[in-house]
Amino acid sequence: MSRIRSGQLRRPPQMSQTSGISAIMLDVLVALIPAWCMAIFLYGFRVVVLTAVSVATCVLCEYWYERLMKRPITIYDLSACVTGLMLAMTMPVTAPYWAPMLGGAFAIIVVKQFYGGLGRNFLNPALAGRMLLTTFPMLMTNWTDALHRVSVFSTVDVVAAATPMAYLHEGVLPPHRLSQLLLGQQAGSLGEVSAFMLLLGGGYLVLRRVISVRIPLSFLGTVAVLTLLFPQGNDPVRWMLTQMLSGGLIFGAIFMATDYTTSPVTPKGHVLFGVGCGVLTFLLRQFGSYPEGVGWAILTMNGSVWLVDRAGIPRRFGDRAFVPTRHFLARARRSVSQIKFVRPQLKLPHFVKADGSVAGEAHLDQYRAWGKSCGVLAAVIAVVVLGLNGLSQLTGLDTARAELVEQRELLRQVMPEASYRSETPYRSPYALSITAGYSDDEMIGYCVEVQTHGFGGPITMVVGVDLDGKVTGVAVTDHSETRNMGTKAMEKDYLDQYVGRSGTIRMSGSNCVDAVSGATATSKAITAGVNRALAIVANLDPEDDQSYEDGEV
Amino acid sequence: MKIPFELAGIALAALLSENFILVKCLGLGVREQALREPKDAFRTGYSLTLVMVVTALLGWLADNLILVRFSLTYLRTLVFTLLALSVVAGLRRVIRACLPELSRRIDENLASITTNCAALGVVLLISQRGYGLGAALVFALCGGIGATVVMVSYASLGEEVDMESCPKVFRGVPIRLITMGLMAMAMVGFYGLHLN
Repeated sequence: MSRIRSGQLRRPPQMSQTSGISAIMLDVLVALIPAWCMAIFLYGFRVVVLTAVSVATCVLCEYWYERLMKRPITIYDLSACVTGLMLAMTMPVTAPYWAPMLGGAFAIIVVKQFYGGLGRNFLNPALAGRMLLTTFPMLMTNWTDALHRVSVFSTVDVVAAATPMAYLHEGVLPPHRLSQLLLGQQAGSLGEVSAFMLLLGGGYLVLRRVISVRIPLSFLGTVAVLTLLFPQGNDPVRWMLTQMLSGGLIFGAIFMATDYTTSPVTPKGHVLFGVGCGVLTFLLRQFGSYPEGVGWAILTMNGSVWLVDRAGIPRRFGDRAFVPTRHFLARARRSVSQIKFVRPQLKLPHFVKADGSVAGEAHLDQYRAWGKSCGVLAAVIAVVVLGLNGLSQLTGLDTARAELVEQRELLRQVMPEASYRSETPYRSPYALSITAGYSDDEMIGYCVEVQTHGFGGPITMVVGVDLDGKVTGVAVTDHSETRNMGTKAMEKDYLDQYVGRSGTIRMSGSNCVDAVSGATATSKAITAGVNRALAIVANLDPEDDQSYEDGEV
Repeated sequence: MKIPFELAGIALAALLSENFILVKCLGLGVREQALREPKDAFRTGYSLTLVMVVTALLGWLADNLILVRFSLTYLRTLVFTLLALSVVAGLRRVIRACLPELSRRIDENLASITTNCAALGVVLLISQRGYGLGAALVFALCGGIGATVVMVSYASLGEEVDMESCPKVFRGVPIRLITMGLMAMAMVGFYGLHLN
């Protein structure tokens, strides 16, 4: 008996299971402690202060909301503490102290209490709070390397470091060793870096039967399989292990995705939920604009738990496999089969009766009304069309003039020495258009219009390249980047960096341009576009279509 | 290889990163019932998808065969508006005549789509971006499916989540908008998602 109690044997289900909300929450807190202690060791005392602020905010918000709304006070069930601790552990150590305050207040008041408190929210509060903060520009993107302990009061002198996720987002393996990633010697959020400590906590939760192993296993397994299959040209096994050990994957799979309220209730639902999270995480990490996608994936799946719950209805005892599915399909088929095609019967006009005789004048009133409304509609359309036509005639000349001015301005920016540009016989599948710039009837270079993908969507730009293969200027003509963030990489100061360069331009090392801080994705997209334009001009050949791959010039 | 890949990218974008309801805020003009009952939401959703696909097809043809050729592009908004309206009216007639049972089920939903901006938005977006016919159809179809999933999700959520326990001033429309906003926040991560 004592062996059973002390956990040396697997417990039978009816014995010594944790029960009650506060007991479960206490278990979760205990499970988080190893990773939290590791975070203090790696990043310094600021971790403790951040956590204290976060937990205090969550508990106070819960207390005051319930006090004001005259509800029973539930802060002693520790759920607010768990939310606070989890929120703190998903932040970078350099986060300002108001970040956990805002995130915690949003998590507790809007996400949790507005829907009736614990057990009735539909998004994971801590995760929703964290993801709200992610949408703030620059707030959650200052990372510092492990063992550079950060001062409690100021984060000004912090040495910035790239997370492994930043490397993986570029499609290259980070320089970290796997053992470093496992123990947590990397830049990242407080709680997510030490995979080993998280697995320790996860093991504790599974042994205490607080969480089932299905969600974490199916989540991690899906990501593992998908990253193993699509390693983006790297060593598959190493790529897979690095993906698993970096970012918030393990933290999310063990602590965020398994939240009782926001995950499905049935075993089959657990597996479906985990697989869904895994697939979305893979998609977001591989193709998304943010380097990390675990949080978004879990939030999206939280919002569709109802669907998973319906798909994962357990079958009745004694039923064979797929019986609910077959029932569902049979019902759907029955429902569809009720819809029958009827041969439409073409009705004769009202004034021709069934016996072929023609009705009297009484029917004409009906047609008069009908004709009147049709006439009104036609008149309105005609007036609108005429108006639009007149307007376009009136402004047509101005539009054309404005376009000419715009084109001239563009040319001045792209190729200051050219006076006009004209079409060329060249075509390339990688350029929208290739035109030639002339100065006094002498061709001095090419203007290549290319499109690359930035943070928020395609960026269209025109790149001027002279006959020596040097950039004469860059102009962005269309984009959907964030105002005041991405657009900083489209100002003259930044674009002038490219002028006079040739060969492959890089973001670091030799022949590099300095990315605008906070707009790295946009800077990279513009650099990629310039490189592509240079490569297209270098390979110009009037004889046939261009064959060209992104890469070195 | 390149074309299926591009189509897959457009499909993924229309489903997730450019979701008509949660990201582009189009297609919210459905009747109240569709935001409350999952079944009605599903019916509205598939009628909307049908209308969007037909409108996209006819709109693409009208745009490329008539408007662009005769440089009448300033009439786009007008033509597409009339087109979307007549597609809804035409579909209602055809379904009523040929498939009476289907008409009994979805006629009201179809009628409520008359004023839905997703049908107009889809053709305008297609013409602005200069999609080809295949891309236009995939965009309309996946956009409609994405909108359907969101509508059904939202309606089911309304059944399962207690919308009455918030402070009094937030009850009714405000809390429903907050719920929709939280769902939209979960989609922010898909912003700019593209296949490369």
